[in-house]
Amino acid sequence: MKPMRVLVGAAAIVCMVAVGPLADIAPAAEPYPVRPVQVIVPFPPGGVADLVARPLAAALEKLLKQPVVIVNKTGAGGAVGMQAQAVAKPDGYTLMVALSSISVMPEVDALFNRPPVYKLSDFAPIALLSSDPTVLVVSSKSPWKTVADFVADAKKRPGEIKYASSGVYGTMHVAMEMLAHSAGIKLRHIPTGGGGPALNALLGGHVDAISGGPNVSIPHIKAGTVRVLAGWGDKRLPALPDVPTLKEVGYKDVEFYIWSGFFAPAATPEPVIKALREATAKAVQAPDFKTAMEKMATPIDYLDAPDFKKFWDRDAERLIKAVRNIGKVE
Amino acid sequence: MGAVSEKREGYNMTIDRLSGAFLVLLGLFVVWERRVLPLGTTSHPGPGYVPLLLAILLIIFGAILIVRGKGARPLRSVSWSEAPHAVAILGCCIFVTLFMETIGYRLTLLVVLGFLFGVMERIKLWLTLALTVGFAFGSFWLFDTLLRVPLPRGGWGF
Amino acid sequence: MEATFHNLILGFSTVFTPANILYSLVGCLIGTMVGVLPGVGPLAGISMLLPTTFGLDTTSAIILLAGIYYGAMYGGSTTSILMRIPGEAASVMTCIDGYAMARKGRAGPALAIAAIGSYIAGTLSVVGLMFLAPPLAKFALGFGPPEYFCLLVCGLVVLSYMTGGSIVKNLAMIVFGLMVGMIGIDQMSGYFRFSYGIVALGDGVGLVPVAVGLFGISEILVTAGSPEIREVLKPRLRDLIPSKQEFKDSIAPIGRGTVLGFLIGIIPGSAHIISTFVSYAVERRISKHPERFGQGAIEGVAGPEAANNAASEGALVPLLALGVPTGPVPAVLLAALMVHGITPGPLFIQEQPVVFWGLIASMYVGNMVLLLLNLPMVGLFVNLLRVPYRILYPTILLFCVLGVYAVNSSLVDVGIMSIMGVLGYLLRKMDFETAPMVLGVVLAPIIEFSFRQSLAMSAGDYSIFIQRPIAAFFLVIALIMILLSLKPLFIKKRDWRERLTEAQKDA
Repeated sequence: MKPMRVLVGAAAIVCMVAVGPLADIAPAAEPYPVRPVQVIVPFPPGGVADLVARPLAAALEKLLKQPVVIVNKTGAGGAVGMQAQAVAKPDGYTLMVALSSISVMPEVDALFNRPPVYKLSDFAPIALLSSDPTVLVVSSKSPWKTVADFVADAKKRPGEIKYASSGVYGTMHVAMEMLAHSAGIKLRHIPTGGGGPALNALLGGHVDAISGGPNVSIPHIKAGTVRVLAGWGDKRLPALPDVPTLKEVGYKDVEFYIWSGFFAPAATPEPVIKALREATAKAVQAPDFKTAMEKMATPIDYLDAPDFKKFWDRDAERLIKAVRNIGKVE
Repeated sequence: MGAVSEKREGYNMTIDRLSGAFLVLLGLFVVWERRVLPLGTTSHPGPGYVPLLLAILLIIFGAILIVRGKGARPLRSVSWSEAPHAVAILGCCIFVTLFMETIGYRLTLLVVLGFLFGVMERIKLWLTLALTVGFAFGSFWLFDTLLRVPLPRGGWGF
Repeated sequence: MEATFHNLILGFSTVFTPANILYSLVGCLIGTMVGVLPGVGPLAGISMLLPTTFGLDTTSAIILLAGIYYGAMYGGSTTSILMRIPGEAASVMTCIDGYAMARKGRAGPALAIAAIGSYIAGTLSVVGLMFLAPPLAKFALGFGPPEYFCLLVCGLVVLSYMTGGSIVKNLAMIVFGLMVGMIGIDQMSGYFRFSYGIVALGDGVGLVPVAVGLFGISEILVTAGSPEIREVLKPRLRDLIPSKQEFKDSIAPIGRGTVLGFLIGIIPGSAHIISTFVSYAVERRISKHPERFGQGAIEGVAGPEAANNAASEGALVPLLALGVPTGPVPAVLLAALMVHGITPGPLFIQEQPVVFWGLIASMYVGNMVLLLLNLPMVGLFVNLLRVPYRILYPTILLFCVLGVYAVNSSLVDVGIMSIMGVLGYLLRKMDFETAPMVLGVVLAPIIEFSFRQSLAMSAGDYSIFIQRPIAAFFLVIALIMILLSLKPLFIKKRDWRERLTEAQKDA
């Protein structure tokens, strides 16, 4: 290998690497967008966030007149993608669709004395897209017909009733623990690898209950293999009008939603955020988007940025309190 | 394979002994690192429980290899002739890992392929250029444009 | 029975529309391409095309996606055999004997048997799917953490017969793999283990970078600089077709692989790769000449390839019969159905006969299409081998990097692949087998998680493993196998493996 050649090559590379990142200091008053936009989804394809993000991306593409591409950056329960978003360039070309678990991660990190992977203030909310409350689903072979039965039984045998979750500090775990805390009962938690395996565990009779997402639970409810006792929402679910909410039954501080929201990095310039907010407002009205969400039995629950921020703050407060109550599991 | 003709003084390092030693070291490393993870009890094993078990197993296996290692192939019989070449290829992989997101997919590939074809393998210049440019841009087009799998575009959007 | 045939006719009539045939074809084609690309497996392929299917009608969408799914299984064996790079993680076992056959000039027969075996397994599995779906699915649901744990323990014991060489070294590799597999978040407690602050390691090192690195990259590292001239003759037609003997030898492994793969595929959460490992180990154990394995035994290709395809069909059983996805790929299929407004549940088969039977019929068609597609391409692929290695390997490297990156858009994966490549290189120098390590990485999270889940279910009581019948059954089998393998300790005969290894070293 001729050393001179190698040296020249290396010098060229060093120059490129050094100059590269400097070369894109964009002029301030550039129309937005002029390049394809990336939307990070921190969850695997086929999950809730992904299924909401894709129709949204399609609708936004028509409005922004630029390709809007979904990038699944999965890992660590969403932390990988969320961290990527937190450090992304705030130019409006990297956005994110995330779930309510976004509020939980920094708190969990604090619990384990780890430096947080991101802070909630790293993100600027653009819009809320959907918010599904979870539902309390039990096996049809179990003796409980109402929430009161369930709670009474749990009081009689503390730590005996098993429930599955999608993972420690995940949505199904936090939701159930919220109820347990409010009702003063102790349940036994069996974490599984995700929403699917948790539902499987219930169907197979390995656990007694779950706090699950409504759209995957409904077919089984209709088929009669499981029974639904209550919902974690503010109002009853349109698809399950006979199912009371936990608030109605008496647990006034229990509210939990698997919501999906649209975010940008916090330092994104104001005009870009405004453009995105306007585009999203129109996108959720688009017939294609509406049809897609309808088919997935996920009601659109749109809130523009200011309302979303209020919703998010209140929800985050609830979740953080719940996580603190759970403490360290082991 | 050359046979060892005279009795060597000193320690006969065989591959089994060397690898056994590594296993033992690795096991000890895990035991040390694991101390931040709670062990739990046998009926409620914590996150540190199984790693500790595995580390102990590894140490045992490593020890067995060291003890029984006399009959294995001697270390000096292992041929490293392709090592320099392998190091160069490895260097390319590391280059990609470190720089692909900074300078973009196509550029990285131009550099890496150009290096491998042109410098390492001494392929004729025109063929090198054709292959390098062809593959770098072609694969990018196939994946990024056609299949919409985002490939990194580097600092200035290229 | 009659109803089934009636429905099947309904299904075929749905499939044999020009549009659906086209979708099936496209799906299979893309699946093969995706499978050939190192590392990128069916999951990535399906995810890439999921958005495109939103606009199609449900049956066509599912036909397309399913085509990608089992098409990838066919394609995955191609690079495994030709270049020892797993086309997708489940093809790792084919790398071993398939590549050995290729080096002996028998790449054509290997590719052909892989395709034929996959076809037979695929078609038989669809039959199984058709008739046995509901009862099998119910059975599958009965697999909870304790059953799972015992099954895997039993599997580990079987798998210790997987490769030759010293038992201690193999076990050490499995343990090493298990440890590597533990990097990441502990799902029971939320602790990060051995991830040193790199968030991307939170989910563990990932099977794809490990498999591609340990097998593919290490192969490049070992071969690229070596002065050995690889002899590649222009293949004659005779060399492309398996010999009568090879055909005869493959039938039984294909049969066993199909049954094994299908059953293992049904179990929720099991990876396809486990079925290939088990098939390989079983073939090796049963064979009268186990020493041929690793040197180019056709059974080592036929069995795992059949198991692979059967497992991918088996994985669909719980999804279609009960609406329960058993792994990431069925989960994406579930999502695709949901996007079209169908949420599979226990009543799916009754409520959506068009979709279900259309899918079944498309599987028959798809498998046939893939066979017809792959067999003629064998000649083309073998000719690829004639490209001088100096030009070939940078291209292979390119595709490895591309494939591994594309899975998760993560350069950390590429880094892991490189590290695994070096590791594989060193391991081969030290006479360690790399396949058991991949097994360890696959099994680690599942085994430990099932174990601790079981204890959580029973509040610390170990007897849960004995109380539940299926779990106890597997434990008993594992015990029997351990006792059988300890037999030589009492009978003073040197293990054939040690004899063989020594004979090889003396040569």
